[in-house]
Amino acid sequence: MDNADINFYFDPLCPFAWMTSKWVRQVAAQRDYTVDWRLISLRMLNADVGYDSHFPAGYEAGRTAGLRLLRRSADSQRRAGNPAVGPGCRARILPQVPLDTADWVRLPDRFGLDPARESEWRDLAQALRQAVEEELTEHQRRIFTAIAVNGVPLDALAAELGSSRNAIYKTMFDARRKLRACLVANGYLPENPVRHS
Amino acid sequence: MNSWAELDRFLRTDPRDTGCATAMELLHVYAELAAADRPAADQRYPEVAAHLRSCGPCAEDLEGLLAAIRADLTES
Repeated sequence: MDNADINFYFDPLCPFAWMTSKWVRQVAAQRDYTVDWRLISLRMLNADVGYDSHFPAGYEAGRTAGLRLLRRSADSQRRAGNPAVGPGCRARILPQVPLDTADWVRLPDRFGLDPARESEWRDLAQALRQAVEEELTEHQRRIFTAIAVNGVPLDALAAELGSSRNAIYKTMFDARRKLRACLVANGYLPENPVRHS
Repeated sequence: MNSWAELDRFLRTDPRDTGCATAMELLHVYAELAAADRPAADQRYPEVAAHLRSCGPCAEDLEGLLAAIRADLTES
């Protein structure tokens, strides 16, 4: 894009750029600015920086892995044009989100349920699964399963469904409230938080 | 602690929770205040605080903002 009002340089891996890009989109919409979303690589810009001395452990590997996201962003931009890369790109380039299957085997891992103490939570987990099937609407079940069971990031799900973070969160909020009320009513969870001394 | 405490926490909802849209509108104000005094920010914006306790993506955005504010303070 030539002569854009704003040239926004970003690495899709960078959370600060991701956050700023959302503000830029809001300002652009309100002021009718045009934005040219331009990809950069922090890994390449910081190639001379000593990762071991300047960054936490694992940073270099993360930045290197980010090059794959950059390639997918560039590909997305090439195929769909400039708007394809911008706010939402970070979610869009995440792996495909599983929506129609529920990986209940992962539930213990997701919520720190210790296999050695399965006798304590087995009935609760089963009751939760049943409540998901019986208490939630189809839309709530789909959203809850993707996020809580399959571990799909909320923003990735919003992008996948063409929805918004707020709408997905609201659906999750209602689903959580319904499920907890059901589990409390059936004696699986206490009504009030358990206080630990 | 019981073995299902995390699941219980996840399912709990706070009626004061304002949702992502309102939280996002107030986040920069909340962050400025929280950078100086987090309890004061929570007291001034309980609906935002309630939301941030439950919404991972918004909490991440806040952490990014706080880091940016602190970096600004360090540089100036």
